[in-house]
Amino acid sequence: MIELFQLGKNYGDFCAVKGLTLQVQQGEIFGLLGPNSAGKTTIIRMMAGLIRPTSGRILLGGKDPAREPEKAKAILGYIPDRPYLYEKLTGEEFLEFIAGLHRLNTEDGWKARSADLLELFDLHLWRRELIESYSHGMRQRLIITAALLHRPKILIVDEPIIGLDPKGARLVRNLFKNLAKGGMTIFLSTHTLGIAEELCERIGILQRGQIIALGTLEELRELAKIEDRQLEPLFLKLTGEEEKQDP
Amino acid sequence: MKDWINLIRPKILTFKNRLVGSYRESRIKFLGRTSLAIGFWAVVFLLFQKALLSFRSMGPSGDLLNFGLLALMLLIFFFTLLMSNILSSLSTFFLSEDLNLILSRPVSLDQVYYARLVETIIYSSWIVLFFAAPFLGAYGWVYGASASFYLALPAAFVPFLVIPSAIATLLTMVLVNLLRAPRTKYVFILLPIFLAIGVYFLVRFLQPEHVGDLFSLPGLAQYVSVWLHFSSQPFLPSFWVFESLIALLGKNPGYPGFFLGALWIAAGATVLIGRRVSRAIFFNSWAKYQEGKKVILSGSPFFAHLLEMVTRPLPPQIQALVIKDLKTFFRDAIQWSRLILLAVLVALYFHSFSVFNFNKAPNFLLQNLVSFLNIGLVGFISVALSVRFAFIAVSQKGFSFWVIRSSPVLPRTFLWNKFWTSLIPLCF
Repeated sequence: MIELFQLGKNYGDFCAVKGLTLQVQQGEIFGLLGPNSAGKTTIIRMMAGLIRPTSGRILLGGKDPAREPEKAKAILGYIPDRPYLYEKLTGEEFLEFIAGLHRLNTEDGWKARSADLLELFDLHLWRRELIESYSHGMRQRLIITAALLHRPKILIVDEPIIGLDPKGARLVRNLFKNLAKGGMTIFLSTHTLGIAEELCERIGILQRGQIIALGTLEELRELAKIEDRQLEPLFLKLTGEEEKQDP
Repeated sequence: MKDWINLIRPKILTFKNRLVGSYRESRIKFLGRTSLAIGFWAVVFLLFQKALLSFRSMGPSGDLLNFGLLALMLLIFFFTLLMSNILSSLSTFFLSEDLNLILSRPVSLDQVYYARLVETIIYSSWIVLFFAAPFLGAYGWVYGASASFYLALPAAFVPFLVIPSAIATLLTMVLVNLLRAPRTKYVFILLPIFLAIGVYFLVRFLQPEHVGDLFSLPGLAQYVSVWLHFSSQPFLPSFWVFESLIALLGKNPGYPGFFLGALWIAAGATVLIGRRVSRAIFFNSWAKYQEGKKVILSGSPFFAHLLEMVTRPLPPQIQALVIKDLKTFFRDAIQWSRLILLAVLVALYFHSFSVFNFNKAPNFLLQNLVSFLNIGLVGFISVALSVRFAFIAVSQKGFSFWVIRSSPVLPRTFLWNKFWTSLIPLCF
C-alpha cells in the first residue's frame, strides 16, 4: 500500500509538488497523468527515495523512504523514465548485480526467476551479450526484469511502454494486470492515455504539482461532464489543454 | 561488508569486458599498448637507475641527493593524489549516473561510501602507481634492498593512496553540502581555486628564487635540502612513507614499523571520519547537486552575445558548430576544474623559468639541452591536451553525432571546424 500525506517539494522558489495526499491500496493499479512539467517525475523520485520531500510524508508498505530507506526500498520495484544501464555488462551480469543489491541468495530462487523473466521478455538468447548491443525495446524489457527480480510488493513505473513494440507493450500490460491480481500495488505515471484507460482502476490528473481530479474513469467523466468514453478528451478538458490542441 | 564489493562489481566487469573486447578486436593493438606500457616502465626504471647510481658514486652527498629526490617525489605524489582525488570524487560521488540506479535500491549509505571511495582511489591513483613502481624499483635495485623493502612497498602505498582520497572526498562532500542547491555546480570552480591558492602558498613558502645555482653541486644540494626540509614535516603522510622506506633501504636505522603503523592508523581514521560525514550529509549533498541544474556563465545572455559576435565572420555552418562546441564545452562543469588546474600548471611552469637562471649552466651543451628539453615538454603538453580535449571532441560525439551526420554538413567541414576550435586555444 502507498500513502502520501501532504507531500510537497520545492526547487528553490519553484513549487513542483503541493500538498499531495493520496492512498493506493494493495493490488491496485493507479495511474498518474499530467502534462509535461506537472510534477509526475518529482513525485515518483520522492517515492523511490531519490529526492527528499520538502514537506509531508510518504509510506510504502508502512515504511518511510526518508526515515527507513533500506526497508522501504527493499519492497519497491522502480522503473525510471530514463534508466541507467551499464553498457559494457551483459544482461545476465546486470541482473546478477541487481540481485546483489537486494542481497538475494541462490536459495531465494532469483536465478530461476531471472531465467523466467528473461524468457518471458524474449531476452534469454541475448543474456550473454553486452547491453550496448541491445535495442531500445530490449533495454526497457531488461529494466522491467531488473525491477521485478526481487518480487517487490510495490512497483513504481515512470512511462512503462516507451520504446516497446506492440507485442512488448501488450506483454507488459498483461504482466501488470497479473501482478496486481497477485497483490502487487502498481503506481504508474504515463502519457500514453490508452495504457491508463486499460490498466488503471483509478486515475489522478496532476497539474502544476496538484491533483486536480482523482477517481475511476467513470468518476472523472462525471466530474468533467463529458460523455465521450475515451480518456483523451477528458484529460484535455480537465487540464485546460482542449483549446490549445490544434495549431 | 560484502555489499560494497558488489557495488564496484559493474566497474570491474566493465573493465574486464573492455579488455577482452579490445583483445578480440585487434590483438596487435592490444599487444602494442601492453608493450608501450612495459616500455615506459623500462625507460623510467633505467633513467632513475642511472641517475641514482651516478649520484651514489659521489659518496654521502650523493646519497643525500638520492634521498632528497625520494622525499620530493613522495611529496609530489601526495599533492598530485590530493588534486586528482578531488576531481575524481566529484565524478564518482556526484556526477555518476549509476547513482540513480544504486540509490533507489536497498543499499546502505556506508556501503555506497566504501564503494565510491575505492573507485575514487583507483581512478586517481593508478597513474601515480604506474610511475611510482619503476621509480621505487630503481631505488631497491641501486641500494640492493632486501625482500622486506619490496614487501613494505604495498604495505606503505595502500594507506598512502587511501589518505588523500578520504580527505578529498570529505572536502568535496562538505563543500557541496555548504552550497545552496542551485549553486552546487560552483564546486567545480571553487575546489580548483582552493588548490591553486594552496600551490601558490607552497611555492611562496619554498621561495625557489632564493636557491642558488642549480647547476653546481652545492646549489643542487641546497635546493634539495629545501625540499627535504619541507617534506620532513612530521604530519605529512609522504614523510611517513619516506621514513619507512629509507629504513628498509638500509640507510637509516629508523623505525619502519612505527611509520607504517602511523600510515595505517591515519588511513583508517580518515576513512572512518569520511564514513561518518558521508552518513550525515552525502545523500542530501547528492540530492542537492541533482537540483543544481543552472549553468555557470555560459548560460548568460552576455556569453551568448559574445560568442555570436566573435564568430560572426565565420560561414553560417562553421559558426553554428563553433558556438555549439564552445557552449557544450563550458557547460560541462568538470572542464572548468581542468582549465583552472591547467592554468595553475602553466603559471608554475613559467614561474620556474623566470626564477631559475639557466644561463648559469656550466657549458653551452647544457644550456641548449635545457632549451631542447623545454621544446620537447611543450610538444608533450600539446599532445596531451589534444588527446584530452580535441581527440575526444571528435571521437566521442556518440548519440548526438546523428545531428551532424543528418545535416547538410560535409565531414570535411566538421573536421576542419574541430581542428580550428582546438588549435586556437592550444596555441595559447
